[in-house]
Amino acid sequence: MNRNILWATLLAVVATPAIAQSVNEKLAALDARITRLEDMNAIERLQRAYGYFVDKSQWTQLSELFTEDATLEIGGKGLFLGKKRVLEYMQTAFGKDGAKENSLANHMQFQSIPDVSADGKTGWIRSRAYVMSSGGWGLPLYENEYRKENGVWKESRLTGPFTMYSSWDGWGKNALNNTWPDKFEPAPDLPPSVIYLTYPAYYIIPFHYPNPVTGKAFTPDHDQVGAYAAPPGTKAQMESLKVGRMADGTQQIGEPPRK
Amino acid sequence: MKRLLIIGIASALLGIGAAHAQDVGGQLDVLTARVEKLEGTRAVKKLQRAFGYYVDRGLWGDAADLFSDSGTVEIGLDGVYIGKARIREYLKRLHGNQEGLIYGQLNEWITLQPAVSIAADGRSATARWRDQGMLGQYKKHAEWRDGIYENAYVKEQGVWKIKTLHLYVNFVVPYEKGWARLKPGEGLTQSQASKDFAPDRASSATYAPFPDTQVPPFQAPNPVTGKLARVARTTFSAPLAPYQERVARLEDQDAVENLQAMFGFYFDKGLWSEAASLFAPKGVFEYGQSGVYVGQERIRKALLLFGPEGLSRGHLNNHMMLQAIITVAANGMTAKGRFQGPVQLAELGQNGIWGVGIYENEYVKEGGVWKLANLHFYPTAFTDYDRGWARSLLPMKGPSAVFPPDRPPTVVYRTLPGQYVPPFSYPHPVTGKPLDNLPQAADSVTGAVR
Repeated sequence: MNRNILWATLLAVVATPAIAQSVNEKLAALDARITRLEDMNAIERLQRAYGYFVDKSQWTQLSELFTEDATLEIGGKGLFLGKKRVLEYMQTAFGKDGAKENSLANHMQFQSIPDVSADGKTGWIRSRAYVMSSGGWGLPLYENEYRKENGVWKESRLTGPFTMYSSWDGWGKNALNNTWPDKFEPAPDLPPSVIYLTYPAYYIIPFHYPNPVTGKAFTPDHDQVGAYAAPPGTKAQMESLKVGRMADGTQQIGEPPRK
Repeated sequence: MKRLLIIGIASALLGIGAAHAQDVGGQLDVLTARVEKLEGTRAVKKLQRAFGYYVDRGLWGDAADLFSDSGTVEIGLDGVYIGKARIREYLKRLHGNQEGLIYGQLNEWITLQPAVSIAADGRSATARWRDQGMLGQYKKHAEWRDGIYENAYVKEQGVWKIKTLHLYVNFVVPYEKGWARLKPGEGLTQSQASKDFAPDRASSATYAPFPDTQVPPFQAPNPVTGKLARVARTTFSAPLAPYQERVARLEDQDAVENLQAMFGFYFDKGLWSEAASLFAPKGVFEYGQSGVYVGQERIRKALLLFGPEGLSRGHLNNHMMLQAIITVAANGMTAKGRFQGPVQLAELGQNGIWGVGIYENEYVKEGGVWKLANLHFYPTAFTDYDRGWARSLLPMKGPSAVFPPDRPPTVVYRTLPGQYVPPFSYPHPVTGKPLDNLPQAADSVTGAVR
């Protein structure tokens, strides 16, 4: 034992430059791993802070979580481009800063799965908002993107398709359909990136992460999918995409009767 | 002794740099092991949350693939299913026996409040989670589910997997009825799927679901009083010290999140002695407008105002600890945390109650263990279960006459219709500006708070 330690020590000295090198390499690898953990915490923190701001209509502070060129898409409302438009969207659609007396609009941020790109510059989250409001219940889902600018994480894309909205009567009796671009002011800068149906139908926004165990990525179906009738990629689902359509994806139009 | 002597001689002979390089190597290994445990906590959270998202969308195969080959699932009275294939088939049958969801099916398995413990060797873990299910079939039925997971995880060939998933269902209740009207035996039944497709093993637990108080056994020890494995202290030399600081701050954040989650799990079930044990000796407890209680013993008694130890039949006291934003001081000795605190209440013969609120808590590290220094819950709204936020707003309770607080409330405010915003303990994540001085909305009764 003692002899081994002596040998190790002697070897360490002889090989100092190599070991120093490998220690530096190991330190760099460790640094990357620690940074990744810190980044995931920062991304979760950002999204959770977003939720607390929504709860109390603190729109100015909320908009400051975004990059200058951020995009925001909530429900079926379409795309809003840039931080300024994020603020405009919130203040026009939901009123000026500060919560209105008598009104509850909690958007609680739960179940976050953050991830960071290998170069540490981009991040993603899948998470949910649990909406408890004067109007009833809501379940938006998020697949958001984040960017590290000068060492600070910011939200660069918010994509929040709805799973379900219902009144206080509950989702057994009542289901609100998805929003659409001109449902309320302001109008979006671009139409929705995907047209889909909410509960009682369901839509699967692709997962930014592969299956954590198998490593298999989620493959969304190639044709336009507004709602799933069967799991993605299955024969039944592929056939459902063709229902009511020609093989090229266009819809059949009935010819007027001729003599 | 001998070893030290030899190293001493070697160092003296061959220069200090050598011993130093080896020291650094050893310290690096210690630190890497700690980082691996932090990554384990991340992996465990991802697994369980991913499971929820797959089940939400009827992706039974992806959900089953998260398990180890001998992985098990046990939900309520349904018994134990072993292995990916059986788990997949069970999940499928549990939801109407088709791939994907049925049109009109809602199947949200909301997965909350993790308290993760990674084993000392970093190769296995346990976690307690809170389950809230929003289930149903449009125009037919809708249900709430309430439960606790006590799960285990294993790392195989570098990949974390679910080893056992055990959901102790507390109740599944029709939306219209609400939990407060549940009768014994109504809230937990064996599924038809489990009757048709028999489990591999019978239930491993006995259940005492709501309206009884069901406390699923804790796999992890109490985070303050429990006998936790003490990690040998390593002194880190100059090149590693800053890394060790960063790792320690990450560990602190996890420890504080766990502490708060465990407080919630104890508080839910009226385990007041356990809940009080999480406070520092001079800890402070403040709930709404009920005033301030100081010191562990006063707090333990004050908690009895929420019900008897272990609660009583028909008494639901769910206080969730979610959406954590934890800020650890640079020296690693104190921390602050904001949490989202939905509340589900019931008392025998009364209507159910929903509540929401915010925690702004302070923590202190004593003898290397994180403890609650100041738990301050600001309820922000309560409503009658049947009537909802648009038609019913309930006030907070005032100070108890039976067991008066040590000090009056530190902040006077009212719940909804008021819009008090508990000041944020953290600065804005992007601008870095403080958020503890934002203007309060004007209140038609009290006037602006500030």
